[in-house]
Amino acid sequence: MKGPKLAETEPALDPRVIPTQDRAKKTLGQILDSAADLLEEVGVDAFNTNLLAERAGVGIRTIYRYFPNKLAVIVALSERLSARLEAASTDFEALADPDRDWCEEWCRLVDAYIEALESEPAGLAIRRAVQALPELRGVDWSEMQRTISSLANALDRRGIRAKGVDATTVARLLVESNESIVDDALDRFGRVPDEVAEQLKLMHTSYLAQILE
Amino acid sequence: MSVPAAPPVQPGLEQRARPEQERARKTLEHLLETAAVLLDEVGVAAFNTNLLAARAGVGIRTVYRYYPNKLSILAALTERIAGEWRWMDGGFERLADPVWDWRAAWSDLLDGFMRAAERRPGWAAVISALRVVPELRPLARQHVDLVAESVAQSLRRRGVQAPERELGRRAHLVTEVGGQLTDLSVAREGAMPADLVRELKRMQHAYLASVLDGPGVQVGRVSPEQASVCFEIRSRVFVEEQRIPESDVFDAADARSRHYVARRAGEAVGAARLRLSDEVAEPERVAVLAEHRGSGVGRALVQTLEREATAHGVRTAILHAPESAIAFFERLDYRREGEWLSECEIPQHLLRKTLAAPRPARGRRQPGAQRRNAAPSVP
Repeated sequence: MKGPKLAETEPALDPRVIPTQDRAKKTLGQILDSAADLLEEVGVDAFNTNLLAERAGVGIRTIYRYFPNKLAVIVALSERLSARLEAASTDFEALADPDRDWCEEWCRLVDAYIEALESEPAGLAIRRAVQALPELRGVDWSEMQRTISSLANALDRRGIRAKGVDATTVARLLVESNESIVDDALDRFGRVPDEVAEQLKLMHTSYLAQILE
Repeated sequence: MSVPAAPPVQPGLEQRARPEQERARKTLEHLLETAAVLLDEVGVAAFNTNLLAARAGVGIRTVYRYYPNKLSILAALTERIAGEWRWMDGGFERLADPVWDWRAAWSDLLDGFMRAAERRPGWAAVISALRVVPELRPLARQHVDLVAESVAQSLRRRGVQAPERELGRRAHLVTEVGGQLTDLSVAREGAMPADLVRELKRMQHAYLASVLDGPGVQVGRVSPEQASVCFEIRSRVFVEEQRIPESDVFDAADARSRHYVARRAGEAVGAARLRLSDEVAEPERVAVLAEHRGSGVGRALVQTLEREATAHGVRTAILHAPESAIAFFERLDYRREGEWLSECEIPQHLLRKTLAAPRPARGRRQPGAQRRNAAPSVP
């Protein structure tokens, strides 16, 4: 699919040390938890490594042992978030199965996605930060691409009936519109109200009916 | 249609001085243009007033004369972007007017918004700044709400029968999705890929259809930008089915004509064009897909064209029809005049109809129609 060439993560954004020992893993986890809280509270603009050290109750050198800079922290947060979301809501196998009701399966996926995001209080702040930093646009896009291509694969296996419609485009539309509406609701209400979820599913299923039937 | 008014700016974010003089206005414009480009380049986190002053080639005090801080600049850029929607007033009018095909009217609005987004340097950067700076969030939400409210208002004026809340929610959802997907695409790729635009419209149309589509056949006008839906039907009927050369089916008059599409359950099944002068109306290229003939689609198309003509003050309709179409037009009270014209490959006959004076529009609130009807009619 067309899109910007994607950037492998630049070397300077990688975490410096991948902790192997339990204690170190725990420290890193705690730093990331603090980072998520802090980011949600102050926004990406005000967020920095000094504030993070203070919030996490560690020395700045501990932060620097893991992350060369603020961007690297945000990338790590974003990767952790994506891994959790993927685990919770991107199993498209049932959707790919033509014997199953696509409408029911799609609605189930949307619900799972909403639930996963609602249980990540800083999720919105993390994704918005990634979208807002020009250096990280590639990271945001590559994470979305993974979801888009596995959804496209499932739609292809199920079979798209509409002529001249490419599964990747359909998948991108579904994934991006899902994200837009859910983010907007989280931003306004801190959760996704049932009526918003219902309308979102209605919009998708009205569309999918034309594509899949 | 009321233009979305700018939301009140939060205290501390407003611009300090209002430039009175031409030179000051130019400076301000230059500052904002530079800020947009700079923001695009370095992102919201690195953007600041010192950087702006340096890039714009002015002293920091000049920047501070207009803007107390970085946030107030971002707020000013937001205002400019919100202003883009104001160009689209005509678009909201069409969405509100049942004479227009709502699908085409919605597509026009979305296309207009996307073109504005692609053209504006710094658009994507300003939008992402709005997303991540907590102080600017209310401003961003207000702008989406204003546009969504304009959409809802237009649909209500169109006569859509849906509970207020339901209509509001749908309007919000289509506005949010259209805006967000545009912003994301512009940020990543500079513009939304054509196939995604097509599918986005398909999704929004499918979602709005259950509140906007009526029963039976509906005929609506489409703008020249959306006329491909008409040309496709015309091509299938005249070129593919009747083997008429493409150069006869499509001609220069298309650019000067009004185009109409007939839909059944949302699907385009017929099309026609209307050439309108101050004296005569010429309904032309009336095409109905084979499987939908004999079910009133052609009649609905011609009657709509006639209504448009009379609303325009025209009382005479003329057209040329081949043998095969004569009976159809005679049933609609067109009368033959003169002899067969045989200079083209398929002989044509001139048909004429005197159109009845327009009746007051029933049930549809069409701006302008009342005025026209109220004017004394010439006997």
